[in-house]
This record gives sequence, C-alpha cells and structure tokens, in this order.
Amino acid sequence: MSAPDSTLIEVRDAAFGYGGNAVVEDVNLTVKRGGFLAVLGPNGGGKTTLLRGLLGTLKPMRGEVRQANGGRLRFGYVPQRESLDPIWPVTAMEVTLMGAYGRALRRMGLPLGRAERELAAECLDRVGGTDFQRRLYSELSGGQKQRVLIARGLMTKPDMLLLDEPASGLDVSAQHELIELLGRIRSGGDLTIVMISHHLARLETLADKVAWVHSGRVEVGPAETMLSAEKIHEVFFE
Amino acid sequence: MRETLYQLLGPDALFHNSVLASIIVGMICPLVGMFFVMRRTIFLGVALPQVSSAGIVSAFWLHSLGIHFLGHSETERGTALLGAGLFTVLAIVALALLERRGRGLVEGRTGAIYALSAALAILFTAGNPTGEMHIGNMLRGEIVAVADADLALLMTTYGAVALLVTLCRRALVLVSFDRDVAQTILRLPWAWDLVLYGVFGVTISVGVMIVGPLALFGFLILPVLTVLPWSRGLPSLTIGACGIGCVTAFCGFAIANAQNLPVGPTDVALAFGLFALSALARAVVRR
Repeated sequence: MSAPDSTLIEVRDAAFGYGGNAVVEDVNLTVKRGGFLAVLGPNGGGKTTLLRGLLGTLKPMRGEVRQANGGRLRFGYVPQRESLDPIWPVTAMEVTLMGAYGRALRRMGLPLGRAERELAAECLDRVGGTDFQRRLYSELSGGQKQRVLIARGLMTKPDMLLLDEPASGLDVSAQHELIELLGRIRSGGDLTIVMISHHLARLETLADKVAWVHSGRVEVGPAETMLSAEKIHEVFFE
Repeated sequence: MRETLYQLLGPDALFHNSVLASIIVGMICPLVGMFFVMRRTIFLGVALPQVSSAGIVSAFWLHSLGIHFLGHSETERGTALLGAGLFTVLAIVALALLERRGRGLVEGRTGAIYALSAALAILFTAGNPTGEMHIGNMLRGEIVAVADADLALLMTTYGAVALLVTLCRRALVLVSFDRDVAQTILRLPWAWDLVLYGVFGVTISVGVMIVGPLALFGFLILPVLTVLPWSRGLPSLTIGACGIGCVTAFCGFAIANAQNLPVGPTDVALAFGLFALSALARAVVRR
C-alpha cells in the first residue's frame, strides 16, 4: 500500500481496542495534509481510541495504519485538560516549552536555547496567551488552559494537531473563541487538524471531513453530508 | 556559633562524616522525592524504605545462617547494601509489572508490600542479634558513625543520582506530568520510567543503609511539601526543596548533638515543624 503525496495518514481495515477487545472495527480513512477532520459521536463510542490509533500510541489489532514520511510524522497532541494534575506548579510558559522536550533531549541538562524560548512565546502569542504566560497552569480558566495546551501542541512544530474534546466544559463564549482560534491556526498554513468534539455548532465552517464513531464503527464523509440533520438523527436515534 | 560549626564540620570533628552524610541526604532526597509527591505516589515513598530495611535485615539473617553472597570476607555494609538493593529492585519490578497489568488498586498493592516488609523486618531479626542491632539503629535513625567508605559510597551514588535527574529532568517531568503527550514526542517513554524507578531504587537502598527509613522518608517528602504551596514553577520547587532539606539536615544534626537526641527523628521533627509553619503561613496569606 502506498500513500499518495498529500496523504499524511492512511488507515485500512483496522481495528483498535484494548486487552484483545476491539472498540472500533473496520476503520478506513485517510487524513490529507492541510485537512480538518472532525471526529464526532456519542460518549464511549471509541473516539479517543481512534485518536490514539492515529497517533500511533495504540497499535491496530488488525489492519494497517500507514504514516507519511516513513512514520516520522510530528504530532501536536492536545489532551483533555482535566487529565493534567493541578498539583504540578508549572507555569503556562513551562507547559508550552514541554512541546520542545522531544527536540531538546540532546541538550540534556542545558537550558533550552533562545530560539526555543522565542518559539514558545510566539506559540503563546498565536493562541492569545501572552498575558498569562507566567501564571501557574493550575490557576488558569478552562479556556486559558486549552489555549496553553494548543500552544504546546504548536510548539512541537507539528504536521498534524490532534485535539481531544477541546471545547468540553467551556462556556459558550469560550467555545466560540476556541473555534475562531482553530480557524486562525488553520488559515495560517498547511497544518492538518484532527479534532474530537461534542459540539456541532460552527463545525461545518471548519471541518472538511467528518468521522462519526458509533456502535463500534467509523463512518467518514464530507462535512456537508455528515453534519446533515438526517445523519445526526441516524447516529443518535436509530 | 563558630565553635559549634567547627565542632560539626571541621576536618577533625568527631561527627564530620555524619554531618556531611546528613546534608547530602537532606539535599538530594527532595530532588527525587519531588517525583513521589508530584506523581501522587507518596505511599510508595514510605513503602520502599521499609522494603529496603527488610532487605538489610534479611541479608544479616542469611549471613547468620552461614549463607554468604559476597564470600566469607564480606563486610557488614556490603551485606546490607546487597540486601537493601535486591529487595528494593524486586519490589519496584513487582509493582511495575502489576501496574502494567492494570488490575487492582495501586494503593492496595503498595500497602500490602509495606505490611509484608514491616513484618519480614521483624521476623528476620528473631534470633539474629546482628540484624536486631542494625534494625534498632536504623529505626532510631542514629547517624552518628558514618565510616569513610560509607561516605564515599553515599557521595558517589547520590552524586550520580543528582547528575542523572538534572540531565534527564525534562523527560522525567514530561512522563510524570503528561504521559499521553510523552508517548507522542519522546522515543521510548517507558525507558524514562525505568530511569526514574532506577533512581528511586538507588536513592532508597543507599539512603536507608546510612540514615534509616524514617529520616529517608522524611527527607524525600517533607521539604517538597513545605515548598510546594509557594512554588511558581519547577525550578523554584526544586531549588527550594533541596535548600530546605539541606538546612534541616544541618540544623537537625546540631540540635540532636546539643540535646543528645537521635539525629533521624530530630531531623524529621524539624522538617515537619517547617512544613506546619509553611502550611499555616499559606492559610494566612490565602485569607
């Protein structure tokens, strides 16, 4: 199987799960460079499992996941912000700099270089986080935390930014700000975005492809058809 | 004051080695203990020194039965280090394997290992005077007679631990703070866990042998808890906790020396006093 040039990830007949039990099966999808794939579906349907499969942190039980660049894609992963323990006294800037830790291993104990610090400041600026860069991450609001995690994702210089329910728990205003932010990030280059979301509002303006994850299956199609009222009714009520 | 300092730190001072050993343990343990606190595995920080103590006593017990692992000429310290290291490594490997299987409660497993090692430490001393003497000294935390060889061992191992944690701090922090992201940007994230567990094993095996489980646990945890509410970033937490540990070790030794008290419990009581003051001050500031 060979991936076309613009394809970053190609999944063929794959099943993902844990302990020998498949959570999602017969997954067939491609993620193209510069695309925006929204992963939607009911709770417990396997959205995060699919995301882990795309990231490569969960190996397929069957089938194949093929990444471009010989499997050396750079991912900017934005986990659910509740998964981070507030006991850590880390500032927004320190969290952002963690995105460079993979590159910085060769510097071992030495401080991160000036270029990395400038890039972190730039990433925070891009998400509107300059004002709170010195504040503790645990003291930030939900929307601010989400911005910092996105800045950390950008700090990895990613081919693909993967967000796991970034709008979850945010108020309506913060959700709108987040969607606008993602729109701005996307318009700034050929960054590919994969986002799990429960919030359908304004998604059609961002996503060009939608994957519905439900009943252990993944259905992928263009945003216009997959976000239609009939499709939503089919997923949730049939 | 100057006289007291000279009595404790002067090259010919009676307790020169013991003071230095206390300060080294007080300064380096919080660097490692930070990971116990931040990963919310403080109970592991209590259990592993106890496991290590059981290892020391069991080695003496086997020695008394005529079973020698290092040959007949083995030293008491060699025996103790072997027992401490072996038991600690076995406990860490067992806990890591059980965690990998992901069944049961982490606290339950750690508690069971703590209970077993506490029981073994007492059982192995039955009819074993050498072991009984050692466990008595360990529990009392008598840090008054540290031989040159022990001090050299402590300086070497704790120096290596400090260097390793400093060099690898970014990877160790990332695997502890956000495992999911660590898996996507670090190669072999499990290898960094292995490094961290290795650091735990060495710090505890050698530390228990020199200062005992009580003082070791105190220095691993209390300085970190004292500084944590005031920390505005990881560097301030690290430097603050190591500084508090260092000062506590020195002052604790001076107080114990002046009042004829056992050093380990004096250190821990002093460290707790600082922790209580910090918590009180934080509560006042928050109001």
